[in-house]
Amino acid sequence: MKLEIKGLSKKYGDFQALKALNVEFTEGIYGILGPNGAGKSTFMNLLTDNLKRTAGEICLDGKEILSLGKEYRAKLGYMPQQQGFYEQFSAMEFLRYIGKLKGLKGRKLNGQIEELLTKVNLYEIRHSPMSSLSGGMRQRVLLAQALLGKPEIVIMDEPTAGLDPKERINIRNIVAEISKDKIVFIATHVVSDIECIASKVLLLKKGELIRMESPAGLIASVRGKAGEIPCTKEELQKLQEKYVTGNTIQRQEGLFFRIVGDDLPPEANVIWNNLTLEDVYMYYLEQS
Amino acid sequence: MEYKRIIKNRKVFLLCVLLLVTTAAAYIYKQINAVSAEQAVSEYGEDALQENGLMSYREFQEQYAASYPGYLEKILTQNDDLTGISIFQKKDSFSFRNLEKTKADYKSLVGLKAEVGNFRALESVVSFETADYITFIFGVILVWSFFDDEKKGLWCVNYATPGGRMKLAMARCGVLLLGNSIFQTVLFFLLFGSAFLLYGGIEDIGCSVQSSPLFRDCILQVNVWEYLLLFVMLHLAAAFAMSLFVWMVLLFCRSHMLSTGLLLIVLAGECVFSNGLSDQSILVGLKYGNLFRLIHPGDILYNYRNFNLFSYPINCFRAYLCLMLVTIMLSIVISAWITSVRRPIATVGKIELRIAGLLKKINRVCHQGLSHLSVFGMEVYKILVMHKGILFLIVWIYLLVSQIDTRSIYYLGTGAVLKEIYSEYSGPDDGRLRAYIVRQEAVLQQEQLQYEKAVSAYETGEISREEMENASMVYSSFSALEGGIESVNMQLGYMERIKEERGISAWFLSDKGYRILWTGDGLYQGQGYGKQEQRGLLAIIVLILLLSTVFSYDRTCGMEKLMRAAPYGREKLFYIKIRVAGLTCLFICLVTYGLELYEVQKLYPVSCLKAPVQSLDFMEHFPIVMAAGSFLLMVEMIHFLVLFMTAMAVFACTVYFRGIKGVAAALIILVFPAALQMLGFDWCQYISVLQPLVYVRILQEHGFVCSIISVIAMMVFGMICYLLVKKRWCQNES
Ligand SMILES: Nc1ncnc2c1ncn2[C@@H]1O[C@H](COP(=O)(O)OP(=O)(O)OP(=O)(O)O)[C@@H](O)[C@H]1O
Ligand SMILES: [Mg+2]
Repeated sequence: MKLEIKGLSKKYGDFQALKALNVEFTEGIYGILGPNGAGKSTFMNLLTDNLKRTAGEICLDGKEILSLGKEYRAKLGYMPQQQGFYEQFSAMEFLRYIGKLKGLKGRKLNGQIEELLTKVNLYEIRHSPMSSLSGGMRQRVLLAQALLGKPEIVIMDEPTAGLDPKERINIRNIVAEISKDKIVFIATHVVSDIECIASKVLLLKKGELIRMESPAGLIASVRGKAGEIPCTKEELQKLQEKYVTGNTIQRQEGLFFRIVGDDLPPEANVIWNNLTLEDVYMYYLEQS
Repeated sequence: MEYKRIIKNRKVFLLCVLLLVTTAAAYIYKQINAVSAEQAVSEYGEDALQENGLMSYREFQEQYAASYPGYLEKILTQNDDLTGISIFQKKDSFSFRNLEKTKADYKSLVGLKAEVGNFRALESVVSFETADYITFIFGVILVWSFFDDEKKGLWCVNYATPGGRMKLAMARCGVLLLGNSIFQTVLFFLLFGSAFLLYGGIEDIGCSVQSSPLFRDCILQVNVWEYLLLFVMLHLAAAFAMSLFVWMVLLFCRSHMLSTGLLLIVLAGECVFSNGLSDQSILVGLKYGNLFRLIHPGDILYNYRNFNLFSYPINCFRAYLCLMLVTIMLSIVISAWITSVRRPIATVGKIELRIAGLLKKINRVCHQGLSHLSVFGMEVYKILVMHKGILFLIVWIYLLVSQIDTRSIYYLGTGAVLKEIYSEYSGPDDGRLRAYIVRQEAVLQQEQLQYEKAVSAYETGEISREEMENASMVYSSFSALEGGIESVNMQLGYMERIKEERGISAWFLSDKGYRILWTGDGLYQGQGYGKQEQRGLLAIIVLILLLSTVFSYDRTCGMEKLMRAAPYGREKLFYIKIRVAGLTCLFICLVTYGLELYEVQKLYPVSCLKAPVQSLDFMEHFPIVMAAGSFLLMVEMIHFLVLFMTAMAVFACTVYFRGIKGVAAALIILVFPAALQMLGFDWCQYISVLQPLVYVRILQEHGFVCSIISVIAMMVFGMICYLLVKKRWCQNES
């Protein structure tokens, strides 16, 4: 399975939200990292054809998805960013409804629903109305919905927004588990969501694809670009004013101010090991 | 801030405007109908009026004005007479005290003159009850808008501000007062404005209000415009009290379902008291000192009534004012207390919890069944339950059924003769009828001869006066037969002509039922198409209310993206939604026109469905030869098709404009021109969907070609809407 994107761009009026994207995806998990407004949701909406593109092509195994239509959507699982629900439905009804729209029926549908509800820890409350669920629970219902029908391409827009740490990990595990032979997209600005599971990470900034590489490669690319300044609480404020994108870290030994950049100030201890994707994010996306 | 929020709430604002416009339009429509019925009657001429004991308004006024002083006197002296009777002499009885009080109250009116004038504007507005119910609806909407901020989480923010709680409660009372004032002022300005425009009479505004017979028992010494002012103020106060009361009840429980249920129960009970109790009942105090009266004050301001409280007479109006004051005070205190004490995110109370728990259980059982619905069933469920469509349907069907006229018809004279003939000889022309007519004509001639003989015998004095009278009575009893034969002959003549001219062998049949269905002459000549149009308009409104959410809801609640990413979420779901629209239209059609047929069948059954439709003389020019039954079927199919195309237009409106805007657009495009057309603006017929919907009207008035063009135009319009909606839903948005 190969998903090719050629020259894909999107304009809202005069505003260029996505600039000529050229990229190819094969089976694997793709983390799409980018700050607010980078164009992640726009890209996902184009992938699901919920949004009309300004230019470009999206081809699945060489065939344009627009002409594939239903056939393409049958392979699609989509988890939107905002929580769209029928408040009066219960999780069960909601999943059934979506399942029917995906063309599933009878025992097959019931089996999948039960399996998924158990997976996302919602089986107990499957009959409560959606309006009585917490934000994280709704998020999990949405995830279950996306996985209905065993899609081959899963598109998730900030799947972990509003989840507690345990559920975050749970969802990460679920994604890792189901990702075999699938193309999975996860858009997020929380690095830890994709840290250990993504086979490739896309860095998106202001509608442009800055880099696409494996996490290890990305981390290697920022070697020597991060440094820490030991500081006291009093000095902190000054440092924060000077380096807008800096990050404060509390360790046993005291406070550290971590900055990234090509020219690190002399007072900073340059770090060579234990670099994380966090540093990558800071380096590529937060630096102006 | 609270004021701003309510006013800025576009939904509330739009609804208010809609309510005002509807009320004014309903009022004008009612008056226009009344006036035209009056004109129809007065066209029979003065003699006919007198004969039927009817009087023109002016005459009636004159008579009344002359009799008014006598009326007052009668009340006062009759009192004296009655107190003379022994049972009333017991000084501590209610009857005695009541009479004394009545006398004292009416004394102030002595010497008052009723003047002759035109007071119909005031009379018609005062007896226009719909305005009261619309005001109530407005109050409920206003109160509901308070609870909007709970849903949006604004309450917590508000609650956290210092002094926010008490201030908020007071501000809301202010909003209710101000909102009601503005609404009532505008409403009555519209109503009285159009009333004076329609009826005139603005020059008589200085007369005492008792000059109108409707207000003869009003013991307030005011003239018409003062009364008008009082009337508006009373209604304003009542509306304010009622909206405060509604607010209080809705605040009572946290669960809105519960509190709404509570409100409904209370009001239903009061309504039963208000309408069910007789004036003689011991509990009559409950009839007039009644919350329901706050919604509908009715005649409380102008009718004089006392009720018995521990054998003391209490004036109903006074009691009413007390009730109003108490309601206002209590509601304000309780509501303010609840608003300032309650926390935004508290848990529900114990009793509530129990009831809510029960409801939840019921809910769960329903939901389990529900999850087995197909996608189609789900769409229907969304319309009926999630968007309260079932309520609209109930109200609509109630309106339709309450309008059905089911009195049975008594056939007298010619009617009875014709009925007999129709029951015997309806059918194809087989000569039996002609033979029968010839026989009857012979009988008639015989009678005539005999009568003439009697006349000449009487003139020569051969028979007595009594015998002559007998003979004349016998003869006149045959006049019904004569009339019947005449009418049959006319129909036979028509049948012959149509046979000659177009070669159609028409049937002999009773056309009254068909007339009601397909012409403007319903029960009486010149009735017009009002009833058909009303039904059509109602059907269109219900259609809009039911279908406006089908596409727009998925969009507003964010489901659209999910659906459109599913393989069957585009074309297939679209067709399912279209099928739902078809089903809805079919249902509306069946109910509307089924009830119409049922009504006609009760009054004047239609028969001979196999007869060529040209057997009916008003269908003479219809170019296609088909059976009456087929024509009936065709008309119903046209009804369905036009409604279906209307549904497409509703979809188009709600797909291109979101939320309430879509509904507004649909109302403006579909209902507004239709309503204007009904109100007599003829140019609107070119853009009104009522035109093709009331197909028989355009057929009768403009001919076959025009009617077909109109229907085809509607089809084209509907198809365009359909394609637009399809494009919007199945393809991605820009
Ligand atoms: N319907 C729209 N009309 C106009 N501009 C839009 C529209 N939707 C998005 N944009 C703009 O396009 C840009 C990209 O938006 P997008 O929603 O794709 O960002 P995102 O990466 O998903 O951000 P977030 O992390 O906040 O979800 C933003 O600057 C936004 O303002
Ligand atoms: Mg986004």
